[in-house]
Amino acid sequence: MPTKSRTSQKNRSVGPNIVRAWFDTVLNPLLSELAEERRELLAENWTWRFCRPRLLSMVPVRECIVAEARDNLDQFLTFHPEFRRFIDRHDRHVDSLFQTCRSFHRALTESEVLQEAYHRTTAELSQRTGRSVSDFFGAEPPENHLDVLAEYIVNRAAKLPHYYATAPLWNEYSEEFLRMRESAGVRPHWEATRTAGAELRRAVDDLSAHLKATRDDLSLEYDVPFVFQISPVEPKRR
Amino acid sequence: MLDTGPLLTYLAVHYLDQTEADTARRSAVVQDVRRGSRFAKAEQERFQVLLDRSEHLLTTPHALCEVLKLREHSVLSQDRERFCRISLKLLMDGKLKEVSCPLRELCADEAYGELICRFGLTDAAVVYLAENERCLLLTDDRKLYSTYTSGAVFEIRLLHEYLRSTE
Repeated sequence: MPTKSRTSQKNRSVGPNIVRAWFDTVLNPLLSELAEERRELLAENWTWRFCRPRLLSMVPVRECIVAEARDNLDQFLTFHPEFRRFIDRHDRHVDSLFQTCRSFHRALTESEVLQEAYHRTTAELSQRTGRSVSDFFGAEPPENHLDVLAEYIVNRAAKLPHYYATAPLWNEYSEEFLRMRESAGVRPHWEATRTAGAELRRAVDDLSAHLKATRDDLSLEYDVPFVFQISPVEPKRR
Repeated sequence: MLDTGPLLTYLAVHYLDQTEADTARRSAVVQDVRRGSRFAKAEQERFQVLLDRSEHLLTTPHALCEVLKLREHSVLSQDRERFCRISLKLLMDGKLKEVSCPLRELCADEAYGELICRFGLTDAAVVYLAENERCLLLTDDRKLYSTYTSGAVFEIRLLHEYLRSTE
């Protein structure tokens, strides 16, 4: 009797077991992912990747929940439908940021300023170090060299660790490369990306705040702690 | 040289790549494996670059034994057999060298006997080999790290700090 059970579901109450499952499989993992998104957004590191184009650390909410727990998310949303709005807003802004990063990246790779700087800086460094241009890009084929630099510029990459093949080039010339964001054909894309990033950050903040408030209410109402068990900190002390 | 924490992380990240795990599964496994220390996606990526760029990786049979055992209720242990199969294939590909370190050899030096009693056989063996090989030892073990930070003939670093450093 699907109709009857559907109707009566509204009247059913939630118990501590269900709240525990929501905490462990939906709310806590989601809050953790949102915290990571927030950290990167604050740093204006959009985690854009040109290879298999995506935002590494910013994904739609549903993808933050392991597949077998997505029914728990749906159940949570049945009882807390107000979250659909926050989630839709978050996911919409993730998509906007993705689109602006892609345009920003394209504007950079098509920019003559970047092409000129790439040829000049790699030639300079090559001459000084006696290494070939390919050495500064590791396993990336030459046709991807501009993409690598554009990705770093989009993400406002900081200094790279020594084990990155690109570290000698990027660490020496990053200021010059980052200034290209201000060049005529690129600046509008940079600004659009920053705007999209700021909007996503607000959406992340709102969703996180509401999730925390609901978690707090559920915890006190059903006497269920946010975290049930703390595992040992060191991975090896088992 | 990889101590147990970084070694388990290495195998777990490889397992996730091989099984084409989605974002949520990756986060669940990595959080479980890293227990308590933040290891964001960007750090996972850096770790991968570090390992790809390293010519040789070293570990000990003791560390391997601990890692492949997995904790009873870990997320990875739910797929233990597949994890094991994928890990063994990686371990056999030759990049990671398993250096044996018999107890008799270790105990020939009294200081290592003491070290076994204090930190356990796995840590003592890892330190012994790092000294012999004069290599970088990556660990998650703060106690071990603070013991050997100064004055050691090898370099020891906490994995998450090393990944964030640009030195």
